[in-house]
Amino acid sequence: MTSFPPKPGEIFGSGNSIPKVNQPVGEPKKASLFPLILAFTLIILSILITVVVGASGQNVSVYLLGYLVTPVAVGLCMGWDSIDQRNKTKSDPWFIAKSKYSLVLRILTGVSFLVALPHINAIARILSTLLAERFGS
Amino acid sequence: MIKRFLATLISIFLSFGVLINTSQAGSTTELSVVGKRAFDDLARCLNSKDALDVFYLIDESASLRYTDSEKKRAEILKSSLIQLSTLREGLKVQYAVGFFGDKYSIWKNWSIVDPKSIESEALDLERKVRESNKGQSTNWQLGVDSAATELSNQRKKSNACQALIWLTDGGLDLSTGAPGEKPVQANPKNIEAFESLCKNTSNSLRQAKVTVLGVLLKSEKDLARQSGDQRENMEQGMDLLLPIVEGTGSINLGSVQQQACGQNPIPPNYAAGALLEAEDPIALAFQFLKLGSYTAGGTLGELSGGNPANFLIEAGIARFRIITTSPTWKLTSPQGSSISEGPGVTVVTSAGATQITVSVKPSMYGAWNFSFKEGSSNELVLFSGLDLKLDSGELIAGIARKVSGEVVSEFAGQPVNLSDYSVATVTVQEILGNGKTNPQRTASLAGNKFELASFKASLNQGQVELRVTLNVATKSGFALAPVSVSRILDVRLPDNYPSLAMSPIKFDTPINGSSGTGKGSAVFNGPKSGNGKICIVEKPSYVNDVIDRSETYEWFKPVGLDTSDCLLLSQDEKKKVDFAIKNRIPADAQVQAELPIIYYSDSEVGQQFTLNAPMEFQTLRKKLGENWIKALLVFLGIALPLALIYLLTWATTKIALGKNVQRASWPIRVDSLKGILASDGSVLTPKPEDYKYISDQPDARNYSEIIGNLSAKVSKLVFPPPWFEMKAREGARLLTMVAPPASMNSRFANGSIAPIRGNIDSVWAIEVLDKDLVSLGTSTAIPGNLVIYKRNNLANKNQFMDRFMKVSTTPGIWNQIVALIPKVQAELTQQSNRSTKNNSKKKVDNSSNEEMIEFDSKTSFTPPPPPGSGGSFPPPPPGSGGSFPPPPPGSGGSFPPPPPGSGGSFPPPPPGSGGSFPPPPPGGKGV
Repeated sequence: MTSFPPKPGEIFGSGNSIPKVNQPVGEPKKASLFPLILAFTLIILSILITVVVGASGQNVSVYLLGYLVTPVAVGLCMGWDSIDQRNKTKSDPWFIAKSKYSLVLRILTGVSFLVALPHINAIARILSTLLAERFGS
Repeated sequence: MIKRFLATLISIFLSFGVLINTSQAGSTTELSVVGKRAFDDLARCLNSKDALDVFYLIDESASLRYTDSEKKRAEILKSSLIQLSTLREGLKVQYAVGFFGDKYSIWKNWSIVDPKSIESEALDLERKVRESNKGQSTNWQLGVDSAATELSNQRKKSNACQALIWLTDGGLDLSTGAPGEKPVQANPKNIEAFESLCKNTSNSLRQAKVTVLGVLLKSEKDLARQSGDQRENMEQGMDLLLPIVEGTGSINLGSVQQQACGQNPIPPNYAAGALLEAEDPIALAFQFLKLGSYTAGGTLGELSGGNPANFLIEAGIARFRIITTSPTWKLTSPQGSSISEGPGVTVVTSAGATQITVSVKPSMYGAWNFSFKEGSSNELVLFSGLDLKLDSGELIAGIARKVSGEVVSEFAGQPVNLSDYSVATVTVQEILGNGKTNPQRTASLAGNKFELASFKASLNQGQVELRVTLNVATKSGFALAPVSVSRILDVRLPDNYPSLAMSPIKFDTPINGSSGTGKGSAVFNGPKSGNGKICIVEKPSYVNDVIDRSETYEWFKPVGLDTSDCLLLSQDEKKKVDFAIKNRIPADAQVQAELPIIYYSDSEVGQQFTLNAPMEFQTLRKKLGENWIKALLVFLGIALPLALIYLLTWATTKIALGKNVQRASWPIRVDSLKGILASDGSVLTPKPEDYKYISDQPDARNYSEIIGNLSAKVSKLVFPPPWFEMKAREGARLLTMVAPPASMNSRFANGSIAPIRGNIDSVWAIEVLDKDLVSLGTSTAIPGNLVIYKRNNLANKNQFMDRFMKVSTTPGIWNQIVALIPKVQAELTQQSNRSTKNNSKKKVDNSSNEEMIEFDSKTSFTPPPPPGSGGSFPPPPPGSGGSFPPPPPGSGGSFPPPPPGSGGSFPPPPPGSGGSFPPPPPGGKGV
């Protein structure tokens, strides 16, 4: 503990239990790259689903999976990053926020909509046929 | 030519590329009569058309893990696909692949078989088949119905011969639990599915001339592993395949009975199907090999016992093939020379099997021998290499015509010598539209030409199918497989009768739904000589439909006929008759029907011909607003995640407040040269106690502060990033020196709103009053208020100084103040004009130049301590965790100098100031 009043030469606030002035404990924490990596991976997965299954299949569950991956899950990654960075900013004075991560995630979310278009179209095609037949005669 | 093609076709349906050692192969069943006919039907169709569609319907039920644990079927299917590309030149082959288990999915849409890319496609198929045993139960109905639909849709485009290769290992099982856990009949859905397949789908496929080749992997070992209900289920289900594929068979659903599916016996103008059963995948491949040879027009030859095996090649045999599982072999000609791959000899090796095909020249006649590795399986297949070519011609009802043609070689330019054969006969048979046949008649042969001089088409037939068959046997009496071709011929009437201008009668308007009416018309030509009439008194008969609903068609009386249902036609006159038809049972189908039309001629009183005019129309299930529904779903598909992301952004975009937030505020003077000074123009010296705790707050989207309202903003366009801003109080402007996004420059241009960072501890702002701005003139300083926030960091004792230094060293503050002046002046002028016009009185308070901002009394803003109070450090709020000790007595609250390297280069407070807060300027109210 810091002695009080401080002894000559002792800086107020210094002591064993308090970190050295202006020195973070260990490396300062940075914003996590994980949401960004996950979003990128999800986009690749969605593209793979489109390539493998094609746009004219009849299995709606595959397209629903693709739809959940992009844009829904990518959008959630964006929210996750936003909350995570804000919480860490408040709780850790040495935390280094990365607004660029948030920006890239926002761009990836936009891209995920483009990637999702084949899934959206396929789901609409399959379900519209089913519904039209059900309500038709 | 056709023979060669057929020989290759063998490999597709039969060889599947894998030759196997019969000593390893399990037992296989021989083809039934109907099964043999299936290959004849397909071969005949291929002799008559230049296009083939093959649909692979492949089982992916879980039981394949046991019945084909090595996944041999993948290799077999791959090989068969590759060989599709080696069919005769000019034949357009398309294929598609679907998988079924408890679900159905199309894996490969209709694609043209291209020799350049088929290898990689076959590998893809092999890979896919290897992966595909993840289904549970075996839903035949779903699989076959789906395949039938795919084939029907394709037929409209290709008009090709069609084959469905249906590979399955399991019984019919729609149970939702473990596969085959109960007898088939225990689940009413199974019975329902079987009946639908039996009565509708299988008959429709045969009627549409789709050759169904059911391939059943019936593993006794696998069956033996099952017990009780499960074994019963599998055996019952497997038995059901035979009547579905071949039209009739014995089934056992609790009791043994003979079951017929669809029309029986299968009419000659339908395509029969064949069920191939195999004990294991090796036997399956063997079955495919043998059957392939039959389809190709080959005949099983005689190989002697022993090694080497001997066989005779004599005149009349154009080609022979040896299929062997021997890894090494030697083929020796009658002259004693060893035959290897080269001109006239093709050797294809696939999956350990070898297929040697030799084109025979006269010098090769004689006894051959074939050496092989002991224990291998070998088969000899002989081909006559003959083909039939029919002369063109037409049939006229009631008038005898000549049917003629020529026997040719499948190898273009090769001579044909029928004297090489001990037997060579050509027969002609007529197949009527209703599927009945007339007795065969023998044509006369002269050299290679054949002729049936007097062939009279049956009366009342719009079209007839002529089947011409060549039967040959070698000099030694060995009967080679017959060669058969067929041709559909329109039957026309003599010139003194009216005629139908265009056949078939095609409807323009489909039957759309249960209430829709299909409409079409036909034009009739008057006789070329004399007058005549046509009468339509009967309803059409429906020859091809996807479901049995012939009883529910509603046929309206044709428009254009007189009261006696006839239409008089003068010589060369043209008249139109309109037709209309309905059906209350909707279906998606291309329906073929025949309409009996009676033709009369005035020149032949008492004579009449009834010809069945072919008729085609489409029926559709009415789809209510399909495009609208799709558009709505696409819209929702995009809008919902957009809304979700907007809500997510809105919910997560908050000003980070929380605990330990402190605020300091000073009345200041911003000098163009000296920067931020105290309000009296002296150096502004911040002290720790200038920073006052503000109460803990949860993160918020809006937060009211002493110099304005902080808020988090989300763009309604969803994708632009959110931003944070502070709105100045009335009559004041804010400078935060935070660069706004380029697209938002105009929003923040006049300083009444200023962008800030989202974390309160990064926020600071300088407030200047409008009246000070407009009256700045040439002055180089302007009064204002500075507010700085920080989150108290106990580990950084110099934080108060760091924060201030960061603000005071920010460049461009003065420039931004100057930039605000014209905008504020313009605004005030505008306001003044408006006030004058509206006689309103909203004036800027000019009471005192020195008066500073009157803060909202509700805020937690604390005025600075009076001079000399020592600036005691305020205690942290309860629960903040910070037990920051008070300064030592007598220190006057002076803060120790920053440690070296702390970055705090701010000048020390003037002596004796004790860190006291500078007095507010005269008239100041609390800063």
